[in-house]
Amino acid sequence: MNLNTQTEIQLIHTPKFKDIVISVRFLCPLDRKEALSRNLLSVMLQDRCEKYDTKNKVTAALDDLYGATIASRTLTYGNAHMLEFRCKALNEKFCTSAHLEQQFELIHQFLFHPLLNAECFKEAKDNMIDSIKRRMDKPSTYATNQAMSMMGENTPLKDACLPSIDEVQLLTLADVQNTWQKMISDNHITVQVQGEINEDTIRHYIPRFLPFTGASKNFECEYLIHQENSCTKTETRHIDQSMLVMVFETGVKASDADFWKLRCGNALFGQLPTSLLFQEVREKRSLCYSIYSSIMSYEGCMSISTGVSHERLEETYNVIMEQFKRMKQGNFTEQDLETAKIMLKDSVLSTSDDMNATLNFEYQNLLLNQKRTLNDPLKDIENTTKDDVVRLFNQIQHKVTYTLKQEVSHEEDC
Amino acid sequence: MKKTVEPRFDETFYSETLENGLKLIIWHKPLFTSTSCIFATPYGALDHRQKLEDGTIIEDPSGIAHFLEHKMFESEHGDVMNDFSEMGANVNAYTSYTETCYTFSTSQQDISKPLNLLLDFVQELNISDESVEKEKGIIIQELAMYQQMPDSRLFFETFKALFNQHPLKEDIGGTPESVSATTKDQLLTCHKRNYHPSKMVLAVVTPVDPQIILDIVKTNQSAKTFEPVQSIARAEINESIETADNHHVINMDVSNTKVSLAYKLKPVIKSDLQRTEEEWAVRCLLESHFTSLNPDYQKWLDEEIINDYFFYEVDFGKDYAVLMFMNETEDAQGFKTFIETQLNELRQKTISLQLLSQLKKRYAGQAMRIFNSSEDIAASIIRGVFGKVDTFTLIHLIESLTQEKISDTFEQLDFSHSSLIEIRPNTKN
Repeated sequence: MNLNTQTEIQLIHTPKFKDIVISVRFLCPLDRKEALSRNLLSVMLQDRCEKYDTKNKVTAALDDLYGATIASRTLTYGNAHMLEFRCKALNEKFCTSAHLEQQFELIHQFLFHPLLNAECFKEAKDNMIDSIKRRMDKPSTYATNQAMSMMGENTPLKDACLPSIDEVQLLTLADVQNTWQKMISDNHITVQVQGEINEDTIRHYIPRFLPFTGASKNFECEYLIHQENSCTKTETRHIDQSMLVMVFETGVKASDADFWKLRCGNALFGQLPTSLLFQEVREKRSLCYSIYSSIMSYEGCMSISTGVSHERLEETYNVIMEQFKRMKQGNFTEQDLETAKIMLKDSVLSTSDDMNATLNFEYQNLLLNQKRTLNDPLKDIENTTKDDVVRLFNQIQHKVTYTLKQEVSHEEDC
Repeated sequence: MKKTVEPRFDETFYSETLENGLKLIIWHKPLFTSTSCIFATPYGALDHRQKLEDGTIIEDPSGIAHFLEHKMFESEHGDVMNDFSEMGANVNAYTSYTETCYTFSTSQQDISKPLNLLLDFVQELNISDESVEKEKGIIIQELAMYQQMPDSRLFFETFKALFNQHPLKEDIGGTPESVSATTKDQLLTCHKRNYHPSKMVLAVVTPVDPQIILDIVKTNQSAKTFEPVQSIARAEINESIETADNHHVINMDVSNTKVSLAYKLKPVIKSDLQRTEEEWAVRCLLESHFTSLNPDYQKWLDEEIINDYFFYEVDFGKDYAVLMFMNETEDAQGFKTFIETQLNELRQKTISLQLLSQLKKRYAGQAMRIFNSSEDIAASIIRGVFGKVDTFTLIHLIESLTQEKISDTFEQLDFSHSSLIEIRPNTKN
């Protein structure tokens, strides 16, 4: 549904949940500096606004809506950068007073009258820097970021990787103010409302409280990464466990007819506890506690991550590559594939019981210019054959191996 | 089967205790697609030292409840995970300090197969010496994974510094040494003593007709016999109120120094309901003072006394009580002085009526949110049964809290015993 030509409205009526969720998503092409500024804006947006100009007032307003929550986050989808502002509040039918209008009014205040001043900017910047440090302190996050940075060389994926502290330091308040202006006026904007809602009421509230101008979406989100050469990198840190991350080109985008066939192959290869990686690396050889493969839908990549002891890194690498070879040779049973398919179908079906998953599914349709229902991926999964999986795995190219090795002495007690 | 309707929350559930003692709770969610189940025993990491009714003390290696959870997935013909997957059901398990839970969820409408499998695999342990040895490598890697996560590590080190004898001083999974020392016989005995149906709870959150669920469970259980087991309980711990270490510093590969200031309080030896009430009374007061509900909170951030990592935790267990403050700061002693000053200030005042009413509204909304997710409902059922305070009782308890109760409870707390833990960045060579 479109209330004007630019703003996309997605209303999801369901009496399943106690909450009403209102999500506003701002989409634009991915640009490294602009994305950093949007990340900082996202931190500032959920902190305070002109009307509620202290944390204390924000908390009081949210508690008045029975512990409503507001959250702002940023995500990349291939070539695109998305900032989402979301407000979740208890359905007024469970409360002593009506407050849906109040929920819309609250979002209006935060999005149209943010508090973008020097004091808030400094605090948000400090918080963002600390948050980056914390994420990089986690060996698994650090290793994944390094591997993606290698894989993304000269592509938008590199721009999606975590920024350095120096890059954040360079941002100014004026950058963030300009970013907010552009976001409100030039982005492609989607408003999603989910819960037990009266559509007429929502249609009345959206133009009143969220009168965006916005722009149409005139760019593709997904793309296929291609690197000519393979590369390997090893670093060391004082950690308890070595991390191994491998990245592959799949040649399959999210909107391709082969996408769910690839997902079936990935489920069989490394996504599930019944997968080849989990069974051979963890269960049979006790090399690790956690190992999994995942698909990056908007870039056409697949990654494998695990944490193992330093002495068994090489063995782990070899076992992983043996399983990859098995996939290419079709050295798995029809039953293995059937199990992967039934598990994937189960995850698709359970989407409707999860508020976030439902919102994301609907938004993905918009990102990929599709109009699919949950039945479509179910059919794609059902129609996947062993030949499909073998064909797709034979076109997958291993490109990046990143290892974060543990040093021998990992800590000292003082 | 007893039916309970909660009109305020628009929720309905059914409960029954079977002949063998198994407690079954079925939460009916007709609008949902998926079913979530948890089969749980009140046997967790704190229970590795137990006392039989004849007074015998049994001491197993720490982490044995978690080890047992790993090994339950082994069946005569291989791995139970494969069987669940073939049925289109996601199976998982977790061990906490006080319980072990086995879960599955599925969107299949016929849940008889996965439900029977859940009951069967948890009630029968099939292990060999070889498979027990093989599992040790996996668990030791799991322990290593948590050791290198700075936030988890701060919690482990806090409990280690607070307690002398209490099993809280060790990780839920134990240590590499205790894992290596665990044997097949110990696991078999633990299973027999702690997985008897009379100790366990099965929570089923489902769109399926509750009578069908009851029939499946009854048929499954009536076909099995269980040897009677001696009554068993967690062995009492002679834990001194003194902390094991009042200041501990470790170095890790972190960017900012992380600090934990933890107070070891006298345990609340009262009923579960009273203990829960006192825990929430303290939580409300701390929430009113150490968060954005306090106008001074912004000043503390601006003056860099705290940063956005700052938070507090309060936990009143059956035989322990702790209060913790976590922060990132280079000045750990300054942070300690700051918290002590604030706690002293709090003794002089009480929460305002307006703030108390604001918090009651918030917590009621948060509790209601549990009913959005079948997994969350199932987990809350287990917490409610083992903790003896269910979600509805808890909401009522919070809504009944008074300023006087909050002040009186806080007044009784003794903050004389604390530990200060610092995780400092490694010195660069």
